[in-house]
Amino acid sequence: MVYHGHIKAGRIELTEPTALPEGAAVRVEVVLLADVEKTADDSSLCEELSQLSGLVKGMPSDASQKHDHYIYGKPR
Amino acid sequence: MRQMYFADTSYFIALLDADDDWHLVADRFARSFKGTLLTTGCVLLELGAFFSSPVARPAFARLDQLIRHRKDVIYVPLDAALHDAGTELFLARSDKEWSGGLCQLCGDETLRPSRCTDDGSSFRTSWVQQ
Repeated sequence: MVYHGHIKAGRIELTEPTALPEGAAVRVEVVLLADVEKTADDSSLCEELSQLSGLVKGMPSDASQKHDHYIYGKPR
Repeated sequence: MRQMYFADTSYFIALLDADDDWHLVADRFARSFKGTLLTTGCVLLELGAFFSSPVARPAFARLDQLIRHRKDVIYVPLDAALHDAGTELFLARSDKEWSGGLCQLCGDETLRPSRCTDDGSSFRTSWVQQ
């Protein structure tokens, strides 16, 4: 079970309220801000790549494998 | 540690072109992608040449913007130093059939992606194997 939060005035403040029992032992892992930002980027890069998918039609079906042929005229 | 993937001309053609034999694989990879992409100016040049028809250019323009402006895409522009390193490797390895773009990337040891190998074919298709 993972909860997210931040440090405020020297204490850990969780983003969402929890129903953990009083005295429950926890383990704290510090996450670097840069890692948080990069994690946020994962979904948007994934989404942006997906939005490009299939935008072009009518190209040769073997173009990804034989693009040197289509770009440079290299024999197949 | 985030996994880094080198995306070459083959991958982006397969992704953009709905009729490509590898389109579904490329699409599936994009929709589940987590990590960092690495690509080069040489790849963009090839893609610009391949998608040069008027109907394909808007798609290429969107891809170009994505590659060059996202911070989670490592874009390696072709500069003089990289060109020199790539050309040196290109000329030294006459036993390979790498294209110039691949060699220019491999010529820079600091930018060699984790899945780059000395085998040009497996390097080219590394994205399919994930």
